[in-house]
Amino acid sequence: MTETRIAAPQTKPPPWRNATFLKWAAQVGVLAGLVALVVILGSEAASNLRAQGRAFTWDFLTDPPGIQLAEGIFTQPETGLAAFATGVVNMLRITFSGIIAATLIGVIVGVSRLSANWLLNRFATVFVEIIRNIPLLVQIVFWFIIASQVFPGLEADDAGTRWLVVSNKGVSIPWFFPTETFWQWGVFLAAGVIAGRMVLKARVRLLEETGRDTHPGRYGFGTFLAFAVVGWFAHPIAGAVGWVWQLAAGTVAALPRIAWQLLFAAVAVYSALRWIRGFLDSLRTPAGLAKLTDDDYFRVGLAGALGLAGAAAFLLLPGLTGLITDVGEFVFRFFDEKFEFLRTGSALRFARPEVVVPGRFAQIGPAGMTMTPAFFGVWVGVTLYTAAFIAEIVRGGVLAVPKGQTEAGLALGLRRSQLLRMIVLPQAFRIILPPIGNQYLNLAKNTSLGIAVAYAEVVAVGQTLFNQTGQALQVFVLWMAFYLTVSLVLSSVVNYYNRKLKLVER
Amino acid sequence: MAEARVAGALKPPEPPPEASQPGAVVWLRKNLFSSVGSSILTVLMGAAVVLIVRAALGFVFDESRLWGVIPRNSANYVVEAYPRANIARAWLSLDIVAALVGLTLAVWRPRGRVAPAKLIAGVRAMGAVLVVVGVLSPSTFGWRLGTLALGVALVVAAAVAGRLAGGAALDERVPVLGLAVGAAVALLVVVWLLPISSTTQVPMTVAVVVAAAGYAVGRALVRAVPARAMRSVLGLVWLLSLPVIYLHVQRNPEFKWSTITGDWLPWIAVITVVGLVLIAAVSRSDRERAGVINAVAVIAAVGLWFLPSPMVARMLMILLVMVSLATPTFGSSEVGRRNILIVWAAGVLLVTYLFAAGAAETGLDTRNEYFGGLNLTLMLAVGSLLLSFPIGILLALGRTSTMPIFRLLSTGYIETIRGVPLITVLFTARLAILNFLPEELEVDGNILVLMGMTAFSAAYLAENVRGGLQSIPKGQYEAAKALGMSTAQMTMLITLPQALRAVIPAIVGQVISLFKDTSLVAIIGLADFFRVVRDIVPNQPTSLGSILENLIFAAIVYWVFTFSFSRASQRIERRLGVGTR
Repeated sequence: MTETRIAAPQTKPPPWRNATFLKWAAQVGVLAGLVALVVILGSEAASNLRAQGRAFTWDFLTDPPGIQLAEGIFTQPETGLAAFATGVVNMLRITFSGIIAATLIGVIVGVSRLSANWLLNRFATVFVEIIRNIPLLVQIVFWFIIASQVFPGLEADDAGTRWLVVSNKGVSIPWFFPTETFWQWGVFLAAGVIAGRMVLKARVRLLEETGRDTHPGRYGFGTFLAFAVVGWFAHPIAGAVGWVWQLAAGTVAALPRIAWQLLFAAVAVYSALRWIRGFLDSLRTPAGLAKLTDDDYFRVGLAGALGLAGAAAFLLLPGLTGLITDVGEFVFRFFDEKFEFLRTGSALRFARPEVVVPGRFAQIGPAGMTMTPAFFGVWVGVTLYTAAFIAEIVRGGVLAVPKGQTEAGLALGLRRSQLLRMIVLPQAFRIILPPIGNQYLNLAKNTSLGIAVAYAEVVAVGQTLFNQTGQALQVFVLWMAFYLTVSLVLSSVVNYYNRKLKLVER
Repeated sequence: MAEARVAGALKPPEPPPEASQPGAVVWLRKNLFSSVGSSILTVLMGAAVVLIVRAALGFVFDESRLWGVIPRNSANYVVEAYPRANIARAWLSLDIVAALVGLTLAVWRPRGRVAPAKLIAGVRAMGAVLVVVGVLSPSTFGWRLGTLALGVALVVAAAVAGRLAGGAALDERVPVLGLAVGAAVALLVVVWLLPISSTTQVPMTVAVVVAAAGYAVGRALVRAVPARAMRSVLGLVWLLSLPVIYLHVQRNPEFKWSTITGDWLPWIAVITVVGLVLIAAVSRSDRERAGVINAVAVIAAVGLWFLPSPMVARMLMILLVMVSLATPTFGSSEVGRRNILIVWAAGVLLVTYLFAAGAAETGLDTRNEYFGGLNLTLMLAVGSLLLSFPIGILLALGRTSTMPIFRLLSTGYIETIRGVPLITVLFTARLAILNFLPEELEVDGNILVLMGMTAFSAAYLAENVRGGLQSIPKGQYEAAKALGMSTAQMTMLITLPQALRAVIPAIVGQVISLFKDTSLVAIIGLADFFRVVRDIVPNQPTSLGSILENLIFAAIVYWVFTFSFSRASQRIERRLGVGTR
């Protein structure tokens, strides 16, 4: 019986000559080494911290930190978390206003660098070459010193309301402040944006079909404006939205935790399965499923493992689910408070800056929008620095549009401004967008230099916190988590628009 | 890569050759007053420029400015707290660099040339700037008149020179070397004419003489030694100069000979011999047996960390593994084997030297932190760039690898580092790393920060190198496979060299941002150039209130460095023709 069996031809080499096996052995070996290293370093850190009497806990987030912050939503934070939140809000203030201002300045300077006017062209070039070749830190400290030492001081006879206050205690400008009915009006604004977009698209379609100039921009903006004007008077009705938030918050609180745990676990498993199915579908050819490489197996396995791990985490750690539902309830309640059916009042309040003399010394009153010297230093530094880089990107993008496009536009009889607006900039925008997204990310990260002028943003607050509590490692973890989140959000927004623009291409 | 390509496409088209020099009126009409809008713009911009320049000049010439602080603190800016008794060592570092510059100029024969037309245009522009300053600066009448006269003289001189040289001669090109000699002579004249103390004048002159001597030696060597060998040796010497300057020349290490000969020597001797045998064996084996030997070497190198062995032995084992992994690629021929054995022997000497010098106590007359100023700034910038090269290349290879776990790990590292600001990485390096190390291990604060900057720069370098790797045509990979190369051979001989060449401009860009980023170490308390400028000098009793002067001085210094870097990178880009091919 045995002699009839012929040794089958060896189809698989032995493991030590099998490239697939060796590759996986190397990878698993390196991974195991890394895990071992992390474990060794971690236990070393734990024993070091124990020897210094500093346990690794997160208590400082809920304990009173005993610190004061120079500016922000909580200047006397009651918990570490509140201090951290103050830093986050301060950082986001600079990031958002800086992104808007840097984009405006950058586009203007970038187009100026292409101007036929020699003086304007040279001025823009000198601006870019000076700003981008000097470290941002030097610039931030420079503007801070200008704002805090060179700007004039306030005297007692400066008291009163004015249009602009520039002093070494800060710069204050007139501003529209949202009032308690702002969110109700905001509902109309959001609806206006959506409706305006729909009108815009419809007019563009009409333009493409008939060839008439249908003024899509004017129509779209007009629709938005109409919504804004109507909403200005009709916003008390939008207070009804509050009931939705109330209902949502009530639901979150009413359902037992185990229900949420099961729901989240199911979502985790379901999304993993969906991803795997989509991935496999993408590999499907008319001839059937393509042969999977190890890499494909690894991806499927990793997705499955992550989904299961997520489900297990939700099921085994009720605290995790509790955290999510608590945050959800907090957010819903927060929005609930912003709306009240038939609550009336103007949605915006206009205020001019004022100088007050509460005691012996004059200072800027709370009326206007005030930038402290630290805010001014960081904001001007970060904005100009990013603007210089954006200018170079805009210039590169415009130059990268083929010359034939310009010539064709001129041949059609377009004016220069029309040419720029209708032919060159839309095409340049596609080239410009990804690097500009990178610059926005850099701007967000560069706000961390505010620590050099004691501006209370995330890093500065974190440093104050760990100087006070000694919990440096935890603060570092929080920093990284925060900035990674910001990077992730910003880059997914940019990627979304990038994909949308790409679809237009053939 | 994409950026480089865009930049290549951006090059403005050469203006068509003009038959004759256009008149000033024509120029003005064309460039400033071409239309009504343009004229309005010109007038507005002109007013703005006059206001800004006048304000800037008013600031500079204000009576209360303390510009005297800058020359008085020149030594603080450059070396900060470096003990003045040992200052000759700092000058010696400069001499080493000067000699290497001289040698390099001799060996590489710079091919850069400058057209006289460009020089004349430069003189004319300088004259014009002086005229503007003379007209607008709010200072004494005599001063303004002198500036004005000098400016007019320069403009006139430029015009006369242009007329004398004539059309054809202006387009001929003079080699850069003449300019370098001119710059050196000008430096000497300035140093000796200005009221500078002889403790600066003499060493400065010595540095120039050393550079000239280096050039002479280089010319003599070029005739005797093949240029190719000279170039690779010179590259190595440049690499070595950094640790030699910072570990030896400036630290004056007091070697602990008893430790070296007693504890280290047996380990070093054994590992050296084992290495020689191993490399010889690997180079004579087929691919399969070489793989087995290398696997054993890797296991031995890891195992050594769990034995009570000195750190130098562990590092030597890692070096051995790296050399022996490279042996099948480079060491299969007779010449290759000899070269790789030489590399191993030299590597052993180098690692031993670095460890001995690094572990030795300093013999300087101070116990304090003694690295500071521009010296520290340059050390951090150059050091982290060089150290991040191997890590960055490994990360780039990992991210483009077909092996999923390596790709996941590399991508995770790169994206994490790129997602957080440098300052958080520096804080972590300065304050957190020590928590993870055994208590008895003492690491200098500067070294910790250098590690942080390296970790940061490696992630960005990896992305640059990845761009290069992805720009290589697929045919190159396929051709290497068709020749029967292993993956390692393909990477080291075919794809990586091309990728690195393609990303040189991007890497220069990274050097620029790295140099600017070194200023952040001031926040975490290192005495780098920016900290000297912001905290140390303005807080001296004699320099109180000079913070703005100091900041402007710092801005100029940083600007000169980065602007010349970026100009050099544009030239390299043109020379390599990256993006146009």
